[in-house]
Amino acid sequence: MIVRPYEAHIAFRFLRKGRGQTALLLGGIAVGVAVQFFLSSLIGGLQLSLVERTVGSAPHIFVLPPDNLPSSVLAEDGRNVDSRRVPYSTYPEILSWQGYVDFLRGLPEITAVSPVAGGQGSIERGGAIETVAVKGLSPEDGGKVYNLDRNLEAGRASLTGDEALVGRSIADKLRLEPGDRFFIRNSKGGGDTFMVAGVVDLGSVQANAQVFLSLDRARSFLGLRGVTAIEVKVLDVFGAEALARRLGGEFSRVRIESWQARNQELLTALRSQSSSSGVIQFFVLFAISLGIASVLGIAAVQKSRQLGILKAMGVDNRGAARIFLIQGLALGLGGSLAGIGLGYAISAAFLRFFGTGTFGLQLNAFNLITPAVLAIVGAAAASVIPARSASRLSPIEVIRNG
Amino acid sequence: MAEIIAVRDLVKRFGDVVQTEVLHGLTVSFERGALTAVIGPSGSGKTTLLNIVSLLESPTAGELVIDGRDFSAGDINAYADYRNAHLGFIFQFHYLLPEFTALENVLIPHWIGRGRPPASFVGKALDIMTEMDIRRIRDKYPNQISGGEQQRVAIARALVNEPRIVFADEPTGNLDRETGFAVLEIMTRMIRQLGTTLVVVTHDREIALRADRILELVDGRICKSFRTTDVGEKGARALLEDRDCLVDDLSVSALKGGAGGGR
Repeated sequence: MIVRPYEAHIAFRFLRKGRGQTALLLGGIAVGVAVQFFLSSLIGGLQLSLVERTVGSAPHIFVLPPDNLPSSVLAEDGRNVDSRRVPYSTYPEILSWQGYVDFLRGLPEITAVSPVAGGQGSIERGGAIETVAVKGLSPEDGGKVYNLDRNLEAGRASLTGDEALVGRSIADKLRLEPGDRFFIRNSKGGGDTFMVAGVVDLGSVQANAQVFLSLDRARSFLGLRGVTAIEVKVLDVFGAEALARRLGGEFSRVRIESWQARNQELLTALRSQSSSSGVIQFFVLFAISLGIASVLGIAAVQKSRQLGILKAMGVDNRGAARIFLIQGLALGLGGSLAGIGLGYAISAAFLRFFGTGTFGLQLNAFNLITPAVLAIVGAAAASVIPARSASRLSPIEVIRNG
Repeated sequence: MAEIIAVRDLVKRFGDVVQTEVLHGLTVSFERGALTAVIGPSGSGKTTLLNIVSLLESPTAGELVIDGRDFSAGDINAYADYRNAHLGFIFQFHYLLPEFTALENVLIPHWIGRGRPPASFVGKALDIMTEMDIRRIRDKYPNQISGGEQQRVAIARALVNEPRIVFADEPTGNLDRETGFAVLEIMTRMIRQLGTTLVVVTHDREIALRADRILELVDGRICKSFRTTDVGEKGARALLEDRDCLVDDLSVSALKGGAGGGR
């Protein structure tokens, strides 16, 4: 749209001389943009917080051995096979795990890869027995996958020799502190003694019911020849599903799962939250657009005399229409800028007075620009109706009717 | 004098289902640089004729040529640029834009046609305002000035682009007689100075008598057409008093210098 100087000159003068009306419109748009900005920042922050709690200190992709499928209890000759001879404590394993680890570490999307030896055990301490998940991590990347340094509550995040890191739940139940020694029994009846190097809080009861050991000690403790999983952390948390699918296409002898596949309910909740937020924001924008269309529509009627004489003096239909489109755009732009400021102020005040520390606002350019762009587009669209009526106005009708 | 507007067999009908014909095949021309007054009773079609020749309304049929260019067909929106560059308008009501000061109103035609006016153009606008004794109100808004001043601003606005033709529809109709004549005096003086053609529609015979030529319409047809310079003021008054229409322009020559209404 090429704007001729007189169109902007007249449009801005109309806005300036109708100060009260202009201020009300700008206020309406500003409040709408501020509400949109605040809502999307709040919901975005809440979602980020939920995702961070769910997967921030957990793997994003799991490379797992194929499931053990039940085999026939009938031998080829039709006799029953003695099912009691099936080993009672086998874990499915990835034997050639080193090759997978090397491959995965070469991918740019991946930030940490840790082979894991996982299984069950029970800690016996002072007459108390607590069943725990035992997890052996690689010394290179294991700490990164679980953010052990960040989540360390007491002691050191060290996994060398007989050192172990225990989750907060286990430490509380068994009154374990850094430096304490404890005995873990494995599922085969054997066991080993370890020393608490540190206590970690991974954010959930389930995650805190784990004992982390070094990979080698865990493999030996669980009697593994390979590893039970390879755990992967990626740069883009929400891109994990796509990467898992891609890797699944490349590797046929292992299963690949993403965190999304394991947290379908959370994802559904997040999606529902986003949808409801989108609906609210749409109606806020719709209400603003209706307001602008209504006020500019009335203005077009009020200004019909001026438009008529302008047309007589040489303003063509397009020019008359643009006078109103420019007003709509200017209102959208001005209101959006004010709305961004107002939204930022509301967000800052919210964080200051109501911030619980459990989650923050997602104050980013997208949340800032999207409502502003939508408001500008909405305001411009709203001005189309008065622009059309201005365009169709006959100068002679105005002159004839006074 | 050469003609600047030529109209031939002009027909104008209004209405879609029930049509009313206001102009019935009118043929007339307007002379370049002359002041032509169009008079006639209400409903005679004089304002319709003015609207058509000023490109504000399309004719139903007939030919319209302005300064050699054919405007017989087409949407009036397509002639917006021509109106801005070559035509000026003065209406019964001033129709000034209330959002703009007097000077800004005078500058509006330049804004529309050529963008922001340069200092030289603003100076020219101020000169016209000085001539019309309205320079002192240059920064006042229309609601802050008198009716006579408002109309003088409207006249300055019509003249500022130095149009080829100025169309005025009852330019003093909204003013008291004294103010009206003062405004008319200024308007005719300025238009003669600029050598512009003026077509003025009026009910007022005293105003019409100041024109070079008078055109009287009755029921959408030309009733009388004569040059005041040919018949003199006395003759013109007599012709205007006469209720019968003249056969055509040629009969005017027979009346030259006469006082009666010849037929």
